[in-house]
Amino acid sequence: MSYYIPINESYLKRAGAQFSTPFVGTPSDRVPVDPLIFSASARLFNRTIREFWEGDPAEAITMVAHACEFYDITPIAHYLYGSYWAEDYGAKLKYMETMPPIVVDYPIKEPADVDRFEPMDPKELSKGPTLTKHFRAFDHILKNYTPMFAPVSFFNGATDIASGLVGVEKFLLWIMKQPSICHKLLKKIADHMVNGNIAVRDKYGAVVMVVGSVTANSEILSPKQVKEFNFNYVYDAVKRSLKVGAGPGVYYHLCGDHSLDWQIWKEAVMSPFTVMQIGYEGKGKPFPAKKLKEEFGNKCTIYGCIDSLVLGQRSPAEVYEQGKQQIIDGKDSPRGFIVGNACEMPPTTPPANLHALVRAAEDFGKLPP
Amino acid sequence: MTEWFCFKDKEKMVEKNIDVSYLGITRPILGIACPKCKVAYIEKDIATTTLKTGEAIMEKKRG
Repeated sequence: MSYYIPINESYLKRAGAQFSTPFVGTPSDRVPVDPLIFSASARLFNRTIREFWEGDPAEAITMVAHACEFYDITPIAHYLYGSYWAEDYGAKLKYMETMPPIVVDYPIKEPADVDRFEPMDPKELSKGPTLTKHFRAFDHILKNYTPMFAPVSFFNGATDIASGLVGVEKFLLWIMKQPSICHKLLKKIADHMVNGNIAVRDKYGAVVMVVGSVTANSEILSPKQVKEFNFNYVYDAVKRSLKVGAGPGVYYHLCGDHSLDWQIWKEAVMSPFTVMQIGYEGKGKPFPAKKLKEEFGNKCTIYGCIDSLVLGQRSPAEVYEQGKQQIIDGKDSPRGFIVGNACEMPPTTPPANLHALVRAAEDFGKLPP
Repeated sequence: MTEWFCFKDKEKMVEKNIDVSYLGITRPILGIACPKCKVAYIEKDIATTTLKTGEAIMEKKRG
């Protein structure tokens, strides 16, 4: 007997329609809710966060798929974690009790290592530790939960991958003291990003690339540095990926505070299936959906966020209120609107809190027939 | 990128997201445009990959 009960067909049909609406304008009842749920799904099935990440990726993504149905959120099963790719280049990961795996031994320790660093080609990457886990998860969904499959690739920003290879503190120090070393590494990382997208394209025929800017945010770098050390390389990697058919999905995930640098992303490379998500405009202040709609709504689908701290630690009433405001302000965005969380749904989020966000979408996110 | 120039204005074309429409859906795609007269084109490698896949997805979703 299977551990899980089959996913409800009417949920798949209805939630699938909700997910299509922002991109192709087909009718659905309400705005989709996509809170980037990963290991938070484990608590629904009496598993630990560590088991989710350390165990079989096929089992992990299965929990995500069933959590999507449980919460009535977007029926796309996600699998990824922040320290993607570091292992491929020799980093050691440590599995944690309360969060995704972290890098504990960085492969690039000194500037001379940057000269020796070579991006792996698509075939090498497809056999590396990151894509082995990634493909294990997504193959399982494609085979067993086909309507919940999307061919995702995951990078965030070039600066984020560099931080996973060098260490965030050291890399930020290099940005200030040895910028030429950073540029040498980031150029190679842009090649790596293209190669990673090609590997996913070769496997699944299309790609939804998750790119953006996490480490490169307004709390850490100036807007000029964000552009010079992250945006320009992301721009190059996305453009080259689209030109070799490793698209067409581009999901810009700008995690953290982008109060000073968000304007840079108005020039980001776009495709017909582009989502723009900006986490915060100042500490603890979710980027207003109204502003996101005004600045990006005529370009692409927008993703309005609620504060991760509110979702993970505050009351359902606070989640509902914050979700309500973002949904009211964003739902009529001309090229579609998704509501969710600023970053990964905190693993210990009370189920009642995500339920409150879905309720806000039901109560205030109704769409015209 | 390959350097393209506007035949009419002799201006260097610049990379830009340009709106394209298909099946009533208008979305952006990376193209090149003349900064003076705004005429815009999509380069072959984008048209034959990203745009082609995008059209297929829209046809499937729109039934």
